Amino acid sequence: MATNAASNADDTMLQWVTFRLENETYGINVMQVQEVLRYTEIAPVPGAPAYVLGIINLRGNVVTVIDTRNRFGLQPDEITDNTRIVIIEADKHVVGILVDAVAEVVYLRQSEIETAPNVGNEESAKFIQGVCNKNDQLLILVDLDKLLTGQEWAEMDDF
Amino acid sequence: MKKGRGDDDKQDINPQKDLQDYVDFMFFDDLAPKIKVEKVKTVTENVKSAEVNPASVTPEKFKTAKNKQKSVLTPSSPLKPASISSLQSNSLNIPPSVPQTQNQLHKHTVKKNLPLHKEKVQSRLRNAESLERKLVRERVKNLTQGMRQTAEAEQTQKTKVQAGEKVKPAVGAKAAIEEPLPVINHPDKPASIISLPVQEGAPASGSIEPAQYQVWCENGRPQWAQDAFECLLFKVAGLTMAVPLVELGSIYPITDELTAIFGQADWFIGLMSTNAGNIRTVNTAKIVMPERYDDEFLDNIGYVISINGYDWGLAVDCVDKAITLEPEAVRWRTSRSKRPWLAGTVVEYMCALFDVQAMAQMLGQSDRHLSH
Repeated sequence: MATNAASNADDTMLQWVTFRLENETYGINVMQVQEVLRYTEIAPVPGAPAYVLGIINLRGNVVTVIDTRNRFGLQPDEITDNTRIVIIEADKHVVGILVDAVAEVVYLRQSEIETAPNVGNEESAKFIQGVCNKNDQLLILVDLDKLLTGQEWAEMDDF
Repeated sequence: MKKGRGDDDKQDINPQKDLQDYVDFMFFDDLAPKIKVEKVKTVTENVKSAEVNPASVTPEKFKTAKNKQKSVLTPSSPLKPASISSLQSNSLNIPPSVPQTQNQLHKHTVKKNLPLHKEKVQSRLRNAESLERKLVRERVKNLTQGMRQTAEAEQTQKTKVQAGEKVKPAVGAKAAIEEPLPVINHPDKPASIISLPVQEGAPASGSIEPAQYQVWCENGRPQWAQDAFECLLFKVAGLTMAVPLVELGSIYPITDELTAIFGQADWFIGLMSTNAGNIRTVNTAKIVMPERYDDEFLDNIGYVISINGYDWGLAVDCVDKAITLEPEAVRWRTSRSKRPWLAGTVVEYMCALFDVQAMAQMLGQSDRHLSH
């Protein structure tokens, strides 16, 4: 009994916000999500890297929006009614990520998360924290802190 | 000069000549038939009187007449032809003709009996045909019954399979090669999973063992190819390939799209979610023949063959059949540095034989999560 209780304590339950991108479902830790916005006009920033779409005005604060498709190495797609900007906090920076749609919040145990394959030489593979089966669906869990490197996070303050 | 009565009598009276003339008269050839015909006519009239109207001939009467004919006619009797002729002419309406010799008599008899023979032969033919038809009917009936029983057996097997009953895989018996691969029901997906033999003591699917390249035996063959072994044939981009059954896990039909994961190598297609875990599906065509690769392959893939003991799976077009191979039927590779996944070539089927263990280890080494 005591062993079971201990193992349950170790096996923490986490909440994940899921979003859709290129017909796949991704999950990000709910604790890093501040809010979800409908798509608004994004002001491009001259000289910014390709993965930076631009900036938005969020209640008087300037928030940099990252092109998630570009960062994940996916092809660009059109903006739709389902397109959302998810405001997240990662590495002590508040940024927005553009996604095709936001789905739901799911509960996952730590033990349910499996290691994702990491084959090839693409750097983007390091963003993936793991994979998990939920509701007959395979979730790809993203580690937002690794979405950008330390230097790249530092550059976010310059926009 | 007038002859006197006494002279004529003297000249005419010659007892010897008269006797000779009488004998000639009685036995001379030219005269004999006339007498015989006279006798025949008499006998024929007698027989005629015993005959009945030809129109009302019954078998009994015909038999009686025939018996009479037999009693009258003897082989040496000169009356025989005439009697037959009279019988024929009266009872069978055959124009009266009197055969004079034995040969003619034989021909005549044959001619007379020809319709009877024909009828007999025809009746025998009819019997044979009916017997043949009966045999054919019985054979067809047996075949139909056999087919019905087979269909029932298949139906029963399907029912068992649908009920989730695990069917023993066809391994080891050569006779079972042509049988379809057993199918078990997938509780989550409507499509079926084809189960293959699982090696005892193999690591559970989902965990990748450290890379340990299999050591081949001294005879240049892997351990599983020391005796006859079974292989599964499948097609990759139209190319037939074979894998030993002992090294295979399961065959999963692709019903949904695989979950693609960004940032992976181009030969990685995605993850396939199964009950046994997530199968890391690789683009077999790209690994096997990158120089001839066409993206159309991704549109045609139908199955994922998982490797026993690893969570890697090979995407293939279609699964063909299982075959039994003798080790001598394979040209085993001696140098395996360039393509470690190639164990050899099967000459009979003109296909490559996979060393799936080597391939799985090769794939495992390429995973940075595992290699570090």
